[in-house]
Amino acid sequence: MDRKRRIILTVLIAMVVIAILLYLSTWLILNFSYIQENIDNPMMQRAIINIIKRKIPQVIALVVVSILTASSSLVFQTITNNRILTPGILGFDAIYMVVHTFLLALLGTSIFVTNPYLNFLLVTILMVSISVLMYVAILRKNKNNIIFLLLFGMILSTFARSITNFVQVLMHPDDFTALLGRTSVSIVNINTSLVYVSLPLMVLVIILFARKHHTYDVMALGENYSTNLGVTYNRESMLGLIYISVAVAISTALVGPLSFLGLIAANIARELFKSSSHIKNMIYASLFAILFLVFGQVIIEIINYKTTVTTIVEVIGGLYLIYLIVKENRR
Amino acid sequence: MIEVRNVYQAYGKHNVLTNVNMIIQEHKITGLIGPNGAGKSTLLGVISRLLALKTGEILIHGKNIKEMSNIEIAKIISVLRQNNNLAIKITVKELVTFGRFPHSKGRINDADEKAIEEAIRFMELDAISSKFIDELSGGQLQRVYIAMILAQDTPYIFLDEPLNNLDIKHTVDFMKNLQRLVKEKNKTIVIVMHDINVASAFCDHIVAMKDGEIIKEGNIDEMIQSEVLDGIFDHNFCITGIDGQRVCLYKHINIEKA
Repeated sequence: MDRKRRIILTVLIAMVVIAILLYLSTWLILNFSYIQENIDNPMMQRAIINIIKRKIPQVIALVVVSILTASSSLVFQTITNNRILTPGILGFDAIYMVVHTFLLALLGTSIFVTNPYLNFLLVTILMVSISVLMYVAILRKNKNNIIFLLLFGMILSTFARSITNFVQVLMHPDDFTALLGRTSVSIVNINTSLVYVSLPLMVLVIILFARKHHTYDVMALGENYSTNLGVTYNRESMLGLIYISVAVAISTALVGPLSFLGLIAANIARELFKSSSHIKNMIYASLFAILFLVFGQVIIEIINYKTTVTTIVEVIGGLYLIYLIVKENRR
Repeated sequence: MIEVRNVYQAYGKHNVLTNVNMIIQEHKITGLIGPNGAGKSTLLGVISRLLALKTGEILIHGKNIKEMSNIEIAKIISVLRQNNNLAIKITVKELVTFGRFPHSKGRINDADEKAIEEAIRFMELDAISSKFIDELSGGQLQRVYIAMILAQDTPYIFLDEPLNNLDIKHTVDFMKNLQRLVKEKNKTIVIVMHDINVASAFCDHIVAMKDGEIIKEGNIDEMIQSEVLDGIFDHNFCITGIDGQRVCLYKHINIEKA
């Protein structure tokens, strides 16, 4: 069993490394003959340097976002005591969009909107407060009612999207353009200006998740056992949820919504490695998430951007979610 | 020493505990008995801080439980509640290892390893220590939970209806194990139970509750009396003695006839 696990892990790491290398060099491979012919041209050289400059923050963003999404999904599943929900499915990223839109509509040209860093800070703070409120009002009481929570998540994200649309329609066209510039980020169109600024924050959140992994192991046993073993369950849940909100805010700001990535990564890691240790699961799930995102992106580039990774992840993730619900119901 | 002072507990307008005062007897098995809804589990939950205390005081060695950190309490009190279904897939040894969390915070050292092995040996789980807990029978599982609490190594152990779903053999084994814990490891155990005869056979001290109040407490001879029990359970008991032990008969032929 252990041997099998080690083999899977080795293959996984190798695939992740290959995926990242491929991602960095897809354009080079695709246009190899053209580049070879024009390698002496200074314009060409400058273009190559520019592409590399653009690709490196992108790959950093993809890797860090994958780790954040995977870890936050695992911790979220432990806190809410289920295997099906993730922050993405419960509509955390939709909340991010609403907050963003409302800020722009209400504050207009204030410094909190025009300065991207202050804006990001404010949005994150608001998002954390909303999710804490949501936890106290709904999540904590309905923990074991997965169907209710799924329904709630569906309604919440639809509601959030409609509200966002509604406010956008009422907006001044200039504001709307500004909003689009900020929120229409996606895997293809990564907000690279934020990458290096948010990197310390992202690393901090990842460290916070990793540092608490023993506590999360205990919390997976449930509230009574946790309390018995000296874990202050409610406080730790709240803290975990704050980390999760920050993680979702960062990753949504960088690459846009990724509804099902966390679900796929967390559950496949659990299925394949059958570990109950959070730190191990975080590593496995992060590797899967990186593989999905980066490798998916390579494929997208090869087929010349005919679709997006998000779409592929959503198709696969949606099917997987249905499978999980059916399996859960049969038990 | 654990002391309960003037504890009141209410859910909405419904009083579950009214003015409960007690001192837990050291190095004894205390059985908490009473009809359904008497507040036994609530009292146990409040003492072991699984339920937030509304009014009153719980003192551990003279110190208020509210002023102690959770991890500090976890080294003095361990508690096991009824319906402890675990959804995660872990082995017996992993679950027992969790018992060391208050001491090691997850970083297991040699002393922890020793305590875990000893707990597994004490509960005779060596043969199944690498099995997954969802493969075990109810009796085995109950022993694993006790092993976990043993690894936690607290002087006080609180058990909420651990005998539910156990057959007679496993009930007797379980209670004998508790007696061994008191004798060999000097533990103090409080246990909520329904079967008065099991309480009579294995407990040293009995606390009887009704409608959120402690009606009477004392040793077996004082408590297993029909005058005492009839009032608490609203039922006519017939108490008799076999082998020097007091036994309740639940059905009283003479009364039914009359």
